[in-house]
Amino acid sequence: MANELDIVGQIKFAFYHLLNLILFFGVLYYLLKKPISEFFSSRSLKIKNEIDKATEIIDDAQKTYDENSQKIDFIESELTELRNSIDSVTNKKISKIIENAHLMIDKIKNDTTDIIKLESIKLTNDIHIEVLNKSIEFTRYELMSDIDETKDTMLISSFFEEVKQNVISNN
Amino acid sequence: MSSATINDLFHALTIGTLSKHELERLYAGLSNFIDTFNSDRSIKSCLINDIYPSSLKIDIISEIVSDCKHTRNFLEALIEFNLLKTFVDSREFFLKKLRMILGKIKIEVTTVNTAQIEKLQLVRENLENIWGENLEITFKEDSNIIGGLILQVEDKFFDGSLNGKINELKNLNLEGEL
Repeated sequence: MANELDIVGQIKFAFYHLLNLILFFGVLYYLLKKPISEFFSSRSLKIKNEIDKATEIIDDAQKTYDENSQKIDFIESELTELRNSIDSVTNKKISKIIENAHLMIDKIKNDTTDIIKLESIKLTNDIHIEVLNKSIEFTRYELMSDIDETKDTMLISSFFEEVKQNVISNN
Repeated sequence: MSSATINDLFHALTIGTLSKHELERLYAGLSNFIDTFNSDRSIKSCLINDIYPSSLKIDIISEIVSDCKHTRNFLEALIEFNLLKTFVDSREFFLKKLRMILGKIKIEVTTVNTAQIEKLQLVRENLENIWGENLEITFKEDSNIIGGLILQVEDKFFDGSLNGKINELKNLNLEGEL
């Protein structure tokens, strides 16, 4: 009998405690429902805002990245163009310089040929003139030793004949 | 301008007023004056320099051409008009003009040797035979001509020298070369 009382007492005890607990939870639920709900709601909103901001930042960053990528692509294409243009100009200049060099070489070659020809003619002429001068000198020397009174008089007489003819024809 | 004034004086002197004999004396006087002018540097510098007075110049001229009144008057007129230098610069022109008036021909003969009188006589005869007797002949010696002679008859030049023939041949050869 004592055991039975104990069990009932225990059940009662357990029941009261359970009831207290339920009441406690009920009061707790009643008191904390609104602030916790508000707290989580505001937190959720805050997190949502932060997520939105982050998304926005990510979008902006993506946009900037795209723009920069585009710019880099543009710069790269410009660089390629520039490189090609420089290559083309350089090639053109090189070919022009080579062409000019060839022209100069041809001109120098022709000039040198002409100069050699002219120098050769000049030398030949100089030699001829020198030979002529020597011959003249020799002739002069021969004539000086050969001329005498009679020959000089004959020369003068013949010269006067020439002069006379000249004067008569001019008159 | 100055030359024209000399021309006027010259015309006044030579046209009609003087006889042939006087013109001959005028020519001789002017030739003598020019020879003296060319040979004497002190006279030359005195006559062409403006710092000397005209009276001094006239005195010098009177001494040089004392025997010819017309020459003296002409030169004095030139000094008076300050035209003496212009006259001296163009002396050959006026002497030639006078020679033309006188019918005289000036001949300069260049020979190897002017000491050979016979040859000079031969030359003179030949020249007179060609241009008549009214000649003013001067002989010049130049041994470089080798033989023959060179004649300068007024403006005409006749080269009958051996040196001239040689040069002629040389020039012909040179022309052939070129």
